[in-house]
Amino acid sequence: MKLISLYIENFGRLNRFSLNCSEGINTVCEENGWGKSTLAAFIKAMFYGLPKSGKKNLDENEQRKYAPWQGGIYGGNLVFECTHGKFRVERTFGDPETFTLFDLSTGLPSNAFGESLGQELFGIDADGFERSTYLSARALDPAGKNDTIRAKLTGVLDDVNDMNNFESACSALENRAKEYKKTGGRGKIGELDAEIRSLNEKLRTKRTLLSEQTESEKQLAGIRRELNEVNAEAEQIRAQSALAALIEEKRRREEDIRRLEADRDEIPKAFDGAIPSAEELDAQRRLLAQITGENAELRRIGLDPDEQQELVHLSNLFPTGTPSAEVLEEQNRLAAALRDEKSRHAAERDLADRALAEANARLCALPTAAELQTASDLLTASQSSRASKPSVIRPKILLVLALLLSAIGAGFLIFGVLRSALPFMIGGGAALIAGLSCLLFGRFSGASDRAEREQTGEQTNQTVRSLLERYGKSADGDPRRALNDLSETLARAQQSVADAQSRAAALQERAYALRSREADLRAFLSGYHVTDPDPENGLRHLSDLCRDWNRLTRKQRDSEYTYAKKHASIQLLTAESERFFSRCKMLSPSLDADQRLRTVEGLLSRHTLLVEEIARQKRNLQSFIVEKGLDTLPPEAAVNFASLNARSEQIKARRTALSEREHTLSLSLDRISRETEQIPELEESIARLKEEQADAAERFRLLTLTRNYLIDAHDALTTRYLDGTRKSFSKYLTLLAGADAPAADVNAQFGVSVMDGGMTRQPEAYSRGWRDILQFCVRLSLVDALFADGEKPFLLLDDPFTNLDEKRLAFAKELLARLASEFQVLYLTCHSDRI
Amino acid sequence: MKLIHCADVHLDSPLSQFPPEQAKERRAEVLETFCRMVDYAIANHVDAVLIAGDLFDSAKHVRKRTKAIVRETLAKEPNLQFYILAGNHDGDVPLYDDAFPQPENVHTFGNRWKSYRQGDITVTASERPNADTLNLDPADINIVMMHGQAVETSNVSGRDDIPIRAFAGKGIDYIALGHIHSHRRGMVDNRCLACYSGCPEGRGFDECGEKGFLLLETLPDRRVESRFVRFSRRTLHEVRLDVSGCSEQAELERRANAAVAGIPADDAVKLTVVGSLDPDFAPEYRWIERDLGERFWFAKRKDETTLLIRPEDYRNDISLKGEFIRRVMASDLPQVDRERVILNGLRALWGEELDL
Repeated sequence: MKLISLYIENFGRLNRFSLNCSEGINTVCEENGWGKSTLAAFIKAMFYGLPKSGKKNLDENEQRKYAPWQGGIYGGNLVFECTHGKFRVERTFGDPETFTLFDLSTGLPSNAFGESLGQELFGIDADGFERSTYLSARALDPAGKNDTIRAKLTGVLDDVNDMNNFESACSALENRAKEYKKTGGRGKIGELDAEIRSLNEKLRTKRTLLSEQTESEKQLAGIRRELNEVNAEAEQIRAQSALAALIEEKRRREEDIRRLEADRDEIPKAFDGAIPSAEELDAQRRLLAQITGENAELRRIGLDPDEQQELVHLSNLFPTGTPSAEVLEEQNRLAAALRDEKSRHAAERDLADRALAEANARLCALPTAAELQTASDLLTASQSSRASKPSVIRPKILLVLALLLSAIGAGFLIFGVLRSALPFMIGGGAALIAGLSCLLFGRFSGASDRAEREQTGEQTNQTVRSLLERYGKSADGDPRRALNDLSETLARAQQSVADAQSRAAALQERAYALRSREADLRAFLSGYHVTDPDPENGLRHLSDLCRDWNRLTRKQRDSEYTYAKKHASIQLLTAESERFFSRCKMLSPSLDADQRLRTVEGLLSRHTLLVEEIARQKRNLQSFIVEKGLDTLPPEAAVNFASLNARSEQIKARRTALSEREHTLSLSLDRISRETEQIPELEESIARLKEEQADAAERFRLLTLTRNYLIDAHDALTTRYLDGTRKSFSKYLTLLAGADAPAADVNAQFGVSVMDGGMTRQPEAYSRGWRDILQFCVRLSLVDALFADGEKPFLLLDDPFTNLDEKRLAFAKELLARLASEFQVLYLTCHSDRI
Repeated sequence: MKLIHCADVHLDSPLSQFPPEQAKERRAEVLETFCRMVDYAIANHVDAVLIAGDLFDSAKHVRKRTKAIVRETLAKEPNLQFYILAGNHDGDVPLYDDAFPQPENVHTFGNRWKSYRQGDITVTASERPNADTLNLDPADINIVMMHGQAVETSNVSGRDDIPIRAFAGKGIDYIALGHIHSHRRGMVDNRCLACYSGCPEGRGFDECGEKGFLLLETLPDRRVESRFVRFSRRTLHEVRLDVSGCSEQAELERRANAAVAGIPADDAVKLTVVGSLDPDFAPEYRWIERDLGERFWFAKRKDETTLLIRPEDYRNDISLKGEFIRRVMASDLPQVDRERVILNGLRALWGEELDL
């Protein structure tokens, strides 16, 4: 692989810088500060890019370190050639960061390599590149960790993942192992151990309670046994106490009976020792009932309140007494007569009214006298007109006039014609026309007059006929006669009406008389405050009032007699009752008979109840004595009752004390039991924790084993390239140091050790120049080892010989010449002497 | 007459195969199952319950509360008789003492044969059964309780061995055995049926399968008939998952699902992964474990897989992996350690989760 050219647009202080490279050594000799290291960094950046970093230190942040001083596009391009062809890589850094690879055989972008161009080309990462092919005076220790170098060196480039991951794998195994065990007893195993120790301590504490628990249980059992004995004795005493209680109960019952008997014996004393018998009491009850009945009857004698009120009312009506029966009878007779008279009068009045109405009706069905007179007059006038001649004067006059006018007219007309006098002609014509008109009028007027007379006569006849027909007369006969008949009928009807009116006036007179008589009757009734509009009803009502008054006054008189009689009877009965009550001393005189009777009854009832209760209690007592076996008890049984009580109290106190001890011990035992019952759980927990601990220890062991085997495998692989590296190192050291070369060796970690004076010494023990020589040789030997096969990289030498003396510098120049035959070398220096 | 034959309840067993919380729950379930069994006996008019040893797991582990519940349960029905034989685990559990006197329906036994007669049956038992000293009336229906390992030979080697054939011809109708935690039965002679009831609840994955008790019934011809009644609250399953030839995670998960298909969610599952795996395939069991944990009351995985390592495959492998495997295989580590070291070494190199 070789560089062909490069172009820097802007990179650090370099800008628009071009460099063409050839095979062999390509020297860039510029003074300090020109940018040689920047150029070397640019070449590395073109293959590996610039890592992004947020660090402020420029040595740790290449993006910032090589940002263009003058601004502009940050990047450039580089043309190289490798076994895959010739390519140009173009990169910009910062923002945006771009990468483009062109295949120069086609001029097109290529995917032959990606952004990890250096990794893909050389098989090592940027760090590995910097520690091998990039040789500078900068003290970079090739022994620093770099997996890709080792992977490359072990020849396992095609399968570098596991080598790359070796460190992380070891780290993972170590970290996991640390989870189980750390220094200072930390980690899961230590934690479990601490937990187990803690639980064991708890367990030990709780186990110490076991003996205490056993002892407490024994004590508790003893107390409970004692308690059982005490309870048994208490039970005996309880039985004896129960017997004593039964005796006491018997005594109490006997006392009750005696008390009842005393009560019973007190009652006869209230009756002077003679308790009324049931029959006497019944007789007294009947007597009192009779008195009560008699009193009730007494209260019922006399007028009841309604009657009394009625009597007062009637007395007000009749302050001077009632009318006599005769008076009432006479008034009734008058009233009956009046009623009959009024009835007759009403009938007659109806007849008279009907006759008057009929007469008026008949009169109304006839024509009036005026109508008859008019019809008669018309009839007479019609007959006169027909008998007279028609008039002839007017037609003749008209005829003469017509002839005269016609003659005058004719004369004037002729004259006018003859004389051609138009006015005469007109006048003659007009006179002629007037004469003709008179002639015609005279003839028409005569005919009309005759017709008129005929018509008038006919109308008269029609009017008369119509009148006759309306009042039911035939018009066929003689109208005059018919008219006369109607006149006669009219006269008769008028007479009938006059007669009916006269009759009605007479009846009215009688009506006035009847009303007067009725007024008299009402005046009689009103004297007794009876105001019925019908006198007969009023008289009946008055009769009723009189009867009631008589009945009530009579009843009042009868009651007064009966009351006196009944009252005397009650006095006798009451005296008898009092004699009975006087036998009982304890009755208060203020009590009425019923109250006293109830008192007596109560005393007698109580006496009976007491007798019965005493009998019942005596029976019960006997049953109780037999049932409880008290009849067989020795008489001294009750005597022990007091001592029993005393013993019972002692036992109660003993039992209380024992119970308290039992309670205290039980509480203590419960507390201990709660503790000791945790022993199984603690043991289980400890066993489980121990299992966990053993499992953790086993895992830790396996993790440690795994890590150790992995490291062993890794070391074995690493030492496999060591021989070649050592040979190369020795070769380069001889070339650079000549005969003065120390006995140095390189180890598997690329570290150098020097055997000097029988001691192994580190490079730091030597001068700067020697240290540079040793490291330069290590790097060259690394490059040999890394790129023994495949693509040969270029060597980028950034003034690595600044610290060499002239002799070593000469050796170095010779070495460069030899290297140039094998590698393309880009040699950057600031001093022409080192070229 | 109906009887229940049960044994090996192992109340208050530590159940260390389960995590503490689930162990606690399971302990409560074992006790609850015992109580349920007594309820079953009462409800089904059972006359007696035979407990053929190991009612408790150990004398030192039994809790006060457990004893109280047992006493309460035994006293629930005075007409139900309990014949309790102590087993090798019971030790000296003081179920009854002065404070809690033994009720009349509870019968216990000692080191010598002791018989109780109930109806037409005789229940005989001893904590140290010796066939030579056993004398029974052949006219009775004889039930004998023993606790130990029934062996066919007459030469007993273990303390708990019972030479079962020595009891032939003794006039026994039924031998109620305890000590083996799974149900077994066999005829001792023409008359005598011997049965292990097994434990009523599986307490660990060494006690998988159906668990319960035996329901005995005396028949009119004086024979004793026994029927297994499945009664456990939940069943424990051990499922083997063969992952041989598996090279993808999806295939592994598919096989795991198929292996546990049909198991009720209330049960507990132990998935034992077996077979040989290629070292290049790093199976991820976390998701499977999580899935099983969510599907079942309890699930755990045991890895018994082996790595399919052929040394000739790595003879010329110059990579770190090849060197590592060659070195481990050449070591004197036990095969199990070799496989785990190789498996985790490779996982570490590949940046995958370690199995340790």
